[in-house]
Amino acid sequence: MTRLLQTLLLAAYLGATAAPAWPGAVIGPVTSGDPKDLAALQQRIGQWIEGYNGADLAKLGEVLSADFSYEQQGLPAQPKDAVMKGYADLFAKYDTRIEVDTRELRVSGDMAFDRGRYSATSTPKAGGAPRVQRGRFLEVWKRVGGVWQTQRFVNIDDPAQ
Amino acid sequence: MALRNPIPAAAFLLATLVPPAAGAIDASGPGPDIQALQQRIDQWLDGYRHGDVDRMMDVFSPDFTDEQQGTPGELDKARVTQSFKAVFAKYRTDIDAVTDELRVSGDMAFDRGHYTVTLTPKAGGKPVVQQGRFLEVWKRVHGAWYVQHIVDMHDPAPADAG
Repeated sequence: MTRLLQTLLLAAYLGATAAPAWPGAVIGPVTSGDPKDLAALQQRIGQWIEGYNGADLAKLGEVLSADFSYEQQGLPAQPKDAVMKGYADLFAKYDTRIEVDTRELRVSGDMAFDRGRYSATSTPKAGGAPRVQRGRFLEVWKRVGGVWQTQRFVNIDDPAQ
Repeated sequence: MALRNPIPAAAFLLATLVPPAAGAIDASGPGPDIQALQQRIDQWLDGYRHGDVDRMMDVFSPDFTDEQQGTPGELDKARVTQSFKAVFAKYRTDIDAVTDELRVSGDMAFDRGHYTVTLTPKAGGKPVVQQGRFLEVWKRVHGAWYVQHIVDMHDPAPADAG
């Protein structure tokens, strides 16, 4: 796998968070903050996952802030436009599915964070064995104009299978 | 500790927080909170440079976690304390770090940046230099700021490290 493709695949896992509206998602027991804010965040998480599993770039990208950045060890920080390009390439080549276990979600004012684990399966549309990538994440959210957006995301991927 | 690096990886975690040069940091939030966080950052760095584990660990919350590539899961405060003690027993430590971003909202904050750590073996030998980046989340408890979670993205250690 080329480094570029690996980068694109890894970028695809950003925002791999939880969504109660999505059958595979699990919200962990550790939460704090206004329940209304937590519910709003979970809806946004659900939107991202629906976008990912539906290969809907607009829906997915709307969750990311304009100044969004994605980081992981061994790669330079990726801005939103680079990440969206990665998604577009990923969705063109693979059928994608992600399962997420969000273990902690906390809110304070207009800031929030969540962290957890994910398992993403990418099945080549041209045929071939699915590729499963698992990992952990920490992400920070901000509320802008009443809407929660992911601002920072750090991925820690497990060794590829 | 089952880590890829020959040097305890926790030595580099939070190799983070540096009093940034004036005007260099992208910050938002109440000025007094920003200042208080920078003081806590200073405390941690001062502890690191002097091998003072107690001073450093006072900056971490009881539920602190450290996560990084190559570890099977998160490291808790006790594990990280143990790692720092092991590093300070073998090395003189220095750190040069830049906080690129620091934001506060209520009792929560986050910062991110990059760092260079230099470990000089007390027994002699070449210094080991490692660079990396970090994202960490803070919480305020009873008026004091604590690091609650950090993700450390460090470059591979040199082959002669350790």
